[in-house]
Amino acid sequence: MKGTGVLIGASSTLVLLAVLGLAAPVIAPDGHESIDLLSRLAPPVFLGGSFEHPLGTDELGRDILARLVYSIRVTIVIALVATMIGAVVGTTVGLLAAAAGGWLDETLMLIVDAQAALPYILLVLLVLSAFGSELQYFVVLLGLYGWERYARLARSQAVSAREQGYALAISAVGASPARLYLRHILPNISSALIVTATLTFPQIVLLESSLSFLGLGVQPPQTSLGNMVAFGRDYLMTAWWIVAAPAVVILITSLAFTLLGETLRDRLDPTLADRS
Amino acid sequence: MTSYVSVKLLRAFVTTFILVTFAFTVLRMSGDPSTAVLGLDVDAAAQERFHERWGLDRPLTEQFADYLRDLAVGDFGRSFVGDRPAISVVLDRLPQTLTLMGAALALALLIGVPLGGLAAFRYGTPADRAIIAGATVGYCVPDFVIGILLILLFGATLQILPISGNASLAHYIMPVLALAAPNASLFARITRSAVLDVLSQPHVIAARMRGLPWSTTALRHIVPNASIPVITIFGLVLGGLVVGATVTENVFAWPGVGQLLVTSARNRDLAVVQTIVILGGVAMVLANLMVDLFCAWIDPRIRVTSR
Repeated sequence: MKGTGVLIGASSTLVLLAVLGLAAPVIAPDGHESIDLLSRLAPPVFLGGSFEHPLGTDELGRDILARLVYSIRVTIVIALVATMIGAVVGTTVGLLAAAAGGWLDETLMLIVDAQAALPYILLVLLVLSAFGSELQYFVVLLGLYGWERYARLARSQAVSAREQGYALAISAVGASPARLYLRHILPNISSALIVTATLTFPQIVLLESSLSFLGLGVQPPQTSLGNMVAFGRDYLMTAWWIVAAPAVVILITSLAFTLLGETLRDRLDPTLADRS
Repeated sequence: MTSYVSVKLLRAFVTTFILVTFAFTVLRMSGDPSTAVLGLDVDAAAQERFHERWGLDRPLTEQFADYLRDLAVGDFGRSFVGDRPAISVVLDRLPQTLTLMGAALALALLIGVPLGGLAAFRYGTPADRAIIAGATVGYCVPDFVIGILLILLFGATLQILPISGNASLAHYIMPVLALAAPNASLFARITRSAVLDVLSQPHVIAARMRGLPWSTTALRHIVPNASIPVITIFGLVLGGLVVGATVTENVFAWPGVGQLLVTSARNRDLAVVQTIVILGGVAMVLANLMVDLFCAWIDPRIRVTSR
């Protein structure tokens, strides 16, 4: 089948990243903040550096590899939690709109349309400047990214699913709406929602990296891929490897997830495939 | 057509209203402005006078009505940096951002649309696969990574381009490229699938079988039909440009609205942030409205089938 190679390549890349993130305390037992002032701005091993710091060090002599694996860990955990928040909130809104109908449905869909028409990052910046970027608020804000897509999808799928035989039969035997929507319709429409989650995940990674890069996301001493790029930027002329490592990881993560999501979408629902 | 237009106008109005309500809620929830202005150890009497002076002791509905009235006449509050009206701080920066976005949009169209069309006509060939691969990468890489990589290549290694500011024409090259890349990829992908769709339509096959000159088929049958999806994503592209400009301006120290937005967000200069968010949101709503109306004008099917 078309895309099997892509599927295998993308999934193994993601497994590798997850393993690197999980193994961060093993790969870098000293943590990501340990400072080695004697070997500041050391180049990576393939540019004449030593194996003590395989990817070189930054301006404070902190090991780039250690920072990188911890950043992967932070970025992936944040994006996972955020994706789950968005999926749960959006799906709940969508199912509620489908089940309730009437004015509640109309109102919820108006809000969904409004959200879809506005660039999410602008709203995030407004909230961040009003409340500051505490990590837990930041994750929730990232989580609400793309909630309107799940809401639209869940609503439209639920509306068509409840006309099918199994749903009509369950309503006929007197099941409550909650049981009908959560136990019977939700599992049947979940594959489309999972594809949406797979395609939203890399966008959340990018949003997190961009905001952290702008100094409005993950704050030091915590490290993330975006703020590694931000801090390395000042040393672009002399020590480019500080920036290159996280930039490449962001690129790979986003690419692997997007390819995975698009291949899954084409497989699960050929009508959505855009032949690209 | 009239009902289609009024539905679209109503939607645009509702979206703007939701945006403004959201901004008002965030501003009011972000704490008592009197402590932000007068300090935490302010005494009760001074706080009360402050509340009275700014109308904070009145019901929220009245405050909201006042807020709407102020926005309607262009009063977005004062920036506490430099104590100027927030709107004039933003308008000072607007031309730089508009030239950057305009140049990037033009470049994205010039690169993306022809490449997407080429990929469709050469469907399944190595040229098609190369364009699709390029577009996928261009679409996935965040703007700031493209910007940093450009600086690394042209600024640090080759040292042929300036890396910050907007003093000369050469300063435009890297920011415009960084901002255009993701949008060019988007245009290429959409154009390709739109042209592929049209190519398989019976009327195009019929036109080709009748032996019409290739140029006539392309101009009369393919371009008009394939242009609708491309025009439809203009709203999305504009949103992408707004977000992209915010990031790109910060990478290249470009003195535009995006840089102002991030600096103000860091300094928690709420009046300025609110101004940019509302103006940006309204610009998006208007752009989407124009796209909808334009598409309905050139394609009667749209205004009949959608409610």
